[in-house]
Amino acid sequence: MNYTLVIHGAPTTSQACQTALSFARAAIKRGHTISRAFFLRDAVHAGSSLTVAPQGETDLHKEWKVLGQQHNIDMVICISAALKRGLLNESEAQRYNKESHNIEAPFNISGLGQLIDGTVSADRTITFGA
Amino acid sequence: MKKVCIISTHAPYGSPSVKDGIDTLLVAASYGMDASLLAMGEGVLQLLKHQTPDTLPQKNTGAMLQALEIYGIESVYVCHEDLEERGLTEDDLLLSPQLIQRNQIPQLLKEQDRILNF
Repeated sequence: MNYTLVIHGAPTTSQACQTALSFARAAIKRGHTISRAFFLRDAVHAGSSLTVAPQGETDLHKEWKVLGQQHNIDMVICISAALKRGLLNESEAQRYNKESHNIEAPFNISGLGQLIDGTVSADRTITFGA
Repeated sequence: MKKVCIISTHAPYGSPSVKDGIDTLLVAASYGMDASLLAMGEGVLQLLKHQTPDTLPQKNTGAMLQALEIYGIESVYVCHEDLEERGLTEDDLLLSPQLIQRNQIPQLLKEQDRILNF
């Protein structure tokens, strides 16, 4: 089975990113595929390469990055949610004349069209709410 | 054409849930999906007439809903019991949505190819 995961909740104040990560690992272990993880709303913070996890806490950015790279997951950060929260990749930083950026591969920035595309092209779509 | 239903369960303006749901609904329609909206629980409040959130730093989601028709979205469902529990009637709502009994919701969702929660 091929899944698209839709994640709403922030990595710091909800369990959505952790639960989605656990689901993705379990699904992959059983031979399923995660074709896309779409981070929207506060979940876009999981894409920031500038977060520093306190000792003893899981670095969810790093965990997703490793999983995405290992299993070729298309990890999309919703552009409208990201920009207003100060999450930009290099090209958006240039476009808006900002000094730095914090979204890097394997995460990519794109629009809600990728949510709909991922939703209808996968066998199943699962939302991890806030 | 795949059937995509957006379930919206939050009140407008207290969180971005309603706006995010409508944005996704409009994108689904523009991608050629048979898109519908199901407002349940506090979500029924987003359909109230005469919304004037002018002083809030957010878009008027009631006005956004008026654009659904332009996008060809005709299927807007509201849970009848959730409406009644809030002392509201059909006359209080924008868009003349279809009222649906709570026990009919499973059938509506069964007919969908995909469901997204907001």
